[in-house]
Amino acid sequence: MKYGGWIVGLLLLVGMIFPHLFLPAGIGCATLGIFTATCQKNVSGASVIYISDKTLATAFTISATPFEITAITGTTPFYRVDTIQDSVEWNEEGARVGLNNWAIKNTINFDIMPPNKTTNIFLQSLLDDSPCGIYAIVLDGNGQAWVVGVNTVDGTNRPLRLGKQSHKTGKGLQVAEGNIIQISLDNECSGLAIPLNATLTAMVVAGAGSILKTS
Amino acid sequence: MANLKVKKEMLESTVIYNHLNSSKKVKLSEATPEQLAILKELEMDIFEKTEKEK
Repeated sequence: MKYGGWIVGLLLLVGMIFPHLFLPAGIGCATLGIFTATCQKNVSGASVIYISDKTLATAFTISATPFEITAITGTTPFYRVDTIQDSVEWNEEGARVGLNNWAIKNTINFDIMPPNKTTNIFLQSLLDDSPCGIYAIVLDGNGQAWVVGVNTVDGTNRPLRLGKQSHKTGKGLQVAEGNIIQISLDNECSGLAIPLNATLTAMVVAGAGSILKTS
Repeated sequence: MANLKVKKEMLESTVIYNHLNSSKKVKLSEATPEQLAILKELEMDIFEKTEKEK
């Protein structure tokens, strides 16, 4: 105990010089590197969405470099959703909280139609899945597929949930949103959504593969 | 517990999985035998084939 003070002091000094040694993995662990631009056209929008829940997609394998999902475990865990053209939209908004904290809000919007028993069954399944949590695969305008609802900081602890559902008949014939069901999935989490690797993205583009249930 | 060996090319990968109602994250090169057994139960394609499986 004679040197207790020295040991504590030394530990504090090491902590100040090498703070990463005392931080859990996933916090402040990415080092800054060169960003090289890719010379290609950029396309906005999203075209395809697949949905899974926590019980169906049981594990995600993520490669170290590049940082992407290389495998999803589960029996065809992601289900096809036929949305109205150009209604799929994914927003990922990060914002600082206070001085050092960070929060990312994901919102996925899409529309389906027409209101009937089939759409009702789908809506009910989203309502029932929501308490456990939902994951979504979104294919963006550049042809890159992403898993939203899982990230390397929170893992699967902050999945998407059904945030909003809206249906209006509209008055008369001149209402573009008339009788369209608008669905919104959202979450607030600590980490960025993760891209799928080329093989899994190709499955999403083709609409067939071991991670997708299409029929 | 079977002696589970992770494929060499998968060792640097990280797996996020659900167990006991919460999310777990493990780098495969640092996974314990217990964690590997859970991943085996999830039927993940990350293991070398055993002599029996060959």
